[in-house]
Amino acid sequence: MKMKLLVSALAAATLLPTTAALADGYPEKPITMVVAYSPGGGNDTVSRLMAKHIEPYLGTRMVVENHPGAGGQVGFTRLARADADGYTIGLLSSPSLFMIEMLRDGVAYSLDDFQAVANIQSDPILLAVNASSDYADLAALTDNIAANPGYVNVGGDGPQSNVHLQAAAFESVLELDTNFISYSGSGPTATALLGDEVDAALLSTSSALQFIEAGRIRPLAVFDSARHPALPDVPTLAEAAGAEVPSVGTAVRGVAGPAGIPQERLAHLESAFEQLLQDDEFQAAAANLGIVTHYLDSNDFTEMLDASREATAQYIDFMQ
Amino acid sequence: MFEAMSLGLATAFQPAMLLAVLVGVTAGVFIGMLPGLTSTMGVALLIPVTFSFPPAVGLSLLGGIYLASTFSGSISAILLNIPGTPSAVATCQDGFPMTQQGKAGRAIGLSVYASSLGGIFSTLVLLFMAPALSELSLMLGAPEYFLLALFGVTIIASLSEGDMLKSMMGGVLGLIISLVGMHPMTGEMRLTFGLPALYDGIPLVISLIGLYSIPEVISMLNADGKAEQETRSSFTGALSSLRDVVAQKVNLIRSSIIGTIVGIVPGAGSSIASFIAYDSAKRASRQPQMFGKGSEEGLIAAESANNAVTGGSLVPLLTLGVPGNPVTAVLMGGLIIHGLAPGPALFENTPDIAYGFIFSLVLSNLIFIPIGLLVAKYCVKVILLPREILATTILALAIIGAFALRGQVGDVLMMLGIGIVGYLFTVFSVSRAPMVLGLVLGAMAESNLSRALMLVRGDTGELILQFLTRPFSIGLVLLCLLSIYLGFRKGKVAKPTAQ
Repeated sequence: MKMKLLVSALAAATLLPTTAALADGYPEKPITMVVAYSPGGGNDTVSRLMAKHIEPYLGTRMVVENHPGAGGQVGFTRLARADADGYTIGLLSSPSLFMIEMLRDGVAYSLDDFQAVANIQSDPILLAVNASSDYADLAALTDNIAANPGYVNVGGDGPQSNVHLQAAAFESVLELDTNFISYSGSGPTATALLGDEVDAALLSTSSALQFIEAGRIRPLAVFDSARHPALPDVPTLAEAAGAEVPSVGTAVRGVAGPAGIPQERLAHLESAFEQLLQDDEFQAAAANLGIVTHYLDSNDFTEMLDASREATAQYIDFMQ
Repeated sequence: MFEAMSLGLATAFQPAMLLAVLVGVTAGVFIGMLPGLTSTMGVALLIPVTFSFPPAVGLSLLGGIYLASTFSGSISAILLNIPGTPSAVATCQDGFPMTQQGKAGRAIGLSVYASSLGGIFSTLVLLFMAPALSELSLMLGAPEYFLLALFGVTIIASLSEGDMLKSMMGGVLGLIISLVGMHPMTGEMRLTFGLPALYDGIPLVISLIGLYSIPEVISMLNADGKAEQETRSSFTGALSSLRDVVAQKVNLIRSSIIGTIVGIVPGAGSSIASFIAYDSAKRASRQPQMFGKGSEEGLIAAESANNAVTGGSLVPLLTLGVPGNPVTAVLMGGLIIHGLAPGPALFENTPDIAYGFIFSLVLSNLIFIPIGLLVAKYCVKVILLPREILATTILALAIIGAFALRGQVGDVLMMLGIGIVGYLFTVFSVSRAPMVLGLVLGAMAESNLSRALMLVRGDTGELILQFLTRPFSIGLVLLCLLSIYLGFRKGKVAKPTAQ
C-alpha cells in the first residue's frame, strides 16, 4: 500500500531511540495502529496524538493507519484478523464496537477476538442548546419535551451511533419523546445547533468544548457519573434531572490487539501506554484538545468492555 | 485587526514558512496529478511530518498541499482526460479537447493562471470577510443544501451536448449509484448485498478513477496514430496565456464568487462549484456551442471556481471550527494536533499563526504557478510514451489509487466494474459528466431532503412553506426554475436548426 510504504520510509529516515526492547528484540520495526475511522475525527485525533508522544516508551514509532468504512466495522474486523505478533494494534471504540455487532448481520468479529491492552480516553456526551436559547436549564427543556411529545428537535451524530444510543437511553429512562435528527457527525450537528436548526443537540464533550468556550452554546447536562473536569459548573444528568440515565453513549476509546498476543509483548505495550498517559507533555496536549484520559490496565479494560457490552444490549432496542 | 494581520504577514515571510510552502506545493502538485491520491489523502499523509514543526510552519505546508493538489488534478485532466482529483472533472470538458487540438500548453497555462487567481480571490475573501460570511452561512440549513443539490441537477440538461436523453440516463444512473449504502436518516442498508464494503456507498473517488481511467486505458490500446501523439504533446503558449485569463474579467470574477460561496456551504465540494461556474459561463457566453469542444471560457470558469473553493471552505473551519469538506476535516485534525482549537479563539489567542497561515495560502497560490508549469512541461512528454507502456502505467496507478483509498481489495473491483460502465459510455458516446453530477449530488440531495422533512416532522406542506419563505431557499428555488426554463428554451431554439 502506497501510503503505508511512504510512512514507513519516513519512519525509517528518522533515528530511532531504542530505550526499550525485549529479549526477543521486540519491537524491531514500527508498530501499526489501526484506526477504524477517517482522519480528522475523535478516534484519529487521539491516535495521532499518542503516535506523536509514545515513541520513547514504545521503543519504536507507532504509525497510524486509517481503515474507515461501515461505521468502524471494516477497521475493527481488520484488527480482529490481524497477526497477533504485537506489531498491529488498534483503537477500539465502545459502544460503537458493540452496536455494529448487534445491529448487523454477518459481522465477522466478536469481543473475544480482541486482546485489551489499555484504556486511554473516555468522552461523555452532553446535552446543549444554543447560547441564545430560551431553555435556561435541563428542566425547562424536558418540561417542553414532555408537553409536546415528538415535537422538540434534538440533533446528534447518527443514525445508529453512540449519540443515538444515548438519546434512546435518555428518552427511555425519563419517558420522553423527542424528534431525533441525525447528522453525519459532531461537526454538522454543532453547525445545526449554532444555526438554530435544532432546539437542542447531543454532542461529544470533546467536540463541544470549543463552542462552549467561545460562548456559542450552553451545556445543560453531561451524561456521566461525575462532572467533567473541563466543565466543573455543568451538572451531571442525575444532578439536573434527578434520575440516573446510564452513560451508555460515552465514547470509550482504548488500545487493543487481536487475541493471542504473546504475554511479554502485551506487557511491553501495556506499560508503554501507561507511561505515555503519565507523560506531562502528552497530558498537556491532550487537555488542550479537551481529551480526558482515563487509564485502565489490560484487566480493568477487559472488565469495562464486558460491562459496556451489557449496557449497550440493554438500550439498543430503544433506538427508533 | 490590522496589527494582527501585519503580525501574520511577518510570520508568513519567515524563511521556514517559505520553505514549507514550497515543499507543500511541490508535494501537492504530484499528489493532485495522480488519480486516486486526493487532496484529503495528501494532507492526511503529511500531518505526521509536521509534528515536529512550529504550528504555523506545519499548517502552511498542509495548506500548500491542499491548494496545489486542487489545481494539479487538472494537469492529468487536460493531458490525458483523467481528472486527478474530483475537482478537475469539469476541466476535462474543454481541457482535453484543447490537447487534442495541439493546444495542451495553452490549456495548462490558462488552467494554472485561472486557478491561481481564483484561489487568491477566495483567500482575500477569507482574510477580510470570514466572520461575517460564517454568520450568514449559519442561516443555511437542510432545505438550502437540498435546493443547492437540486440546482446542480438542473445543470445536467445544459451539460448535454447532442442527445439530451443519453445525458439524462447518465445522470439518473449516477443518482441510483449514489443510493447504495446506509440511508442517511434511518440507517437502513440499500443495494449493499450484505457486503460491508458497500455500507458507506461507493466512494466518489473510486467512481471517478474507474469512469475516467479505464476507458482511457482501453482506447489507448486501440492506439491512436503517431502523428496524433505528436500533436497532443505540443507544449507552447503556456506562459503568455496570463493576459487572456485576465482579459476574461467577468467570467473570472463570477466563477471565483461561485467557487467561494459553494466552498463555504458544508458538504458541497469543489466538483459542484466548477460545474455550476462552467454552466454559468456557458449561458453567459457568446459562443456556447464551443463548450465541450475546447472552449477557453469553459476551462477558465471551471479552473478558477475549483480553486476558489479552497478559501471558501476554510471560512467555517477557521471562524467556527466546523469543517465543511473532508480536506478541511483533516486539516482541522492537523490544527488540533498542534494544540490549536479552530474557532474565534484562534484569531484572538494566536493571530500570528491564524493570519500567518492565511497569508501563506496567498503565497501557495502564487508558487504553484511556476512549479505547476514546470511539472506539466515534463509531464506532457508522457503522451509520447509507447501506448502500451502508458496504458499499463495508468492502469497500475488506477488500481493502486483505488486500493490506497481505504485499503480494500473490494474497492479495486468496484473501480474496475465502474470502469466498464465508463467504457460503454464512450462506446455509445454518452458524456460522463452528467453521471458524475448525479453521483455527487445524489447523496447531498437525499440526506438533506430527508433531514429537512424530519425537521418538520414529515409535514410536506410545512416544508414547501419553508422553501418559499426562508430567504436563501426562495432564491435557490428561483434559480432552479430559471435554469429549467432556459433549458427548455434552448431545446426549442435548437430543434429547428438541428433538422
